[in-house]
Amino acid sequence: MTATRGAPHRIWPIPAMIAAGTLISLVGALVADGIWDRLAALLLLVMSLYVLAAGLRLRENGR
Amino acid sequence: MISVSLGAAPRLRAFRLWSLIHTWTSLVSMAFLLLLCLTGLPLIFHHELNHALGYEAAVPDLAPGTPFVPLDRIAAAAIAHKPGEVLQFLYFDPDETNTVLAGLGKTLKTAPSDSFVVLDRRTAQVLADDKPGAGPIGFLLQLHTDMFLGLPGKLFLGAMGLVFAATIISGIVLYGPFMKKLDFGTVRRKRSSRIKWLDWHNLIGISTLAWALVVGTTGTVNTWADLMLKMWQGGQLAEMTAPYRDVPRPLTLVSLDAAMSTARTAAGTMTPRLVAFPGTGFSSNNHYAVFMAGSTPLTARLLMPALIDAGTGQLTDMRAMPWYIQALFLSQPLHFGDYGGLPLKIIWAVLDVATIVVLASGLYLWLVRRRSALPRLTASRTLTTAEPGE
Repeated sequence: MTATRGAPHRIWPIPAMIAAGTLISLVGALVADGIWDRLAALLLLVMSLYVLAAGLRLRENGR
Repeated sequence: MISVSLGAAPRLRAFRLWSLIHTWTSLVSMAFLLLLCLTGLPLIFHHELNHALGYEAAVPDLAPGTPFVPLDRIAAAAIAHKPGEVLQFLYFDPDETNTVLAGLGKTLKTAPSDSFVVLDRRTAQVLADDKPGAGPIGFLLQLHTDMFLGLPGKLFLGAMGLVFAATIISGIVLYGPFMKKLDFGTVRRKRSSRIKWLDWHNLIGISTLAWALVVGTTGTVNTWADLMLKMWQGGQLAEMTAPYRDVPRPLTLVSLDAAMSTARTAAGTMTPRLVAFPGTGFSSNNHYAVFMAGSTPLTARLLMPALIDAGTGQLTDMRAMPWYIQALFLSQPLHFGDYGGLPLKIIWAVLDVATIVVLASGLYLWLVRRRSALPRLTASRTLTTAEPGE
């Protein structure tokens, strides 16, 4: 667990952005109406598709 | 070069502790969370499903602009439809402006109501007559809410929601060490099935954590609804009705329409959402309690009770409800996901399914690790017992 190799690895930026985007969508749809509801749903959809694509992507090192 | 940093042992101990918290909090709550996710999935579409299954009133097409009949006539029609029952409340659904839902009970204090009657506001015609919680969606809602165990069931599921929050937080703590050498989204498909599912578990879990935390914690807040309402009844409502504590119920009640008109005038741009009749749990013996809702998407969910003297028709008090009731009102849409139209409901369902995948993969990972640990444990025990005799 404590062994490290090479440059520090950036673990948190993408999960933090997804979490922030989710919260903005949920609260945005609650405080606004109409087009904002659809934009909130669209943002959540885009993030879900990004995560799915990241998981399904074949990596160059064969992972 | 591999460098092993100083202080590795405490960090390893902390990692093991968080790992234990993650494993056991998820195992303890697993069955209930799966139940909540599975029953919650159709509940996201409760409106559409009730409509498709014929549990929603069919509203007749009348000429646009047909005026509403007086509410006194609506109340009389509801009482006439349910002889032997008394009218407890009228609810005005903001999405179904041409109908009104009447709650009736054997007594004014019966809770929950014995009957729900849906009436047309333009004709006072009865459109539907149901028991609360009727139909498959009603069954699923009660299973989801309290597992048919009443308040103890609700509080137990609320506790499971808190355990779920501990699972998520410990999962966040563990995500860092697991991802030290992996890019975001890495799924090692060429490795064993366990590694592959560990990667999917981590990826979906970390991506849905904000949604799962919001839905889990708001679900827990919803399980405290009965307690919060009791607190409000014993606190703010008792304070607002204190001058009437020993005054008997008026023999003749003023017109409901007059009471509503007084409340509307006092509340400005707000619109009535619910009116509780004198003698019910949401009012006093001497008041109509008209719960007014705001006009913006947010304030439309926050109610303000206006108390109208049922003997004189005068407004006696009107206040914003306490913070915990406001928190309850806001936590309901955030839990059920039914506040942003069909696109948001569909995404809510997708995230619900994603949570089921995270739960199931977590259970699979625990079973696989346990299966692989058992032979090792058995072998070490065999060695230990064999040693003295060797």
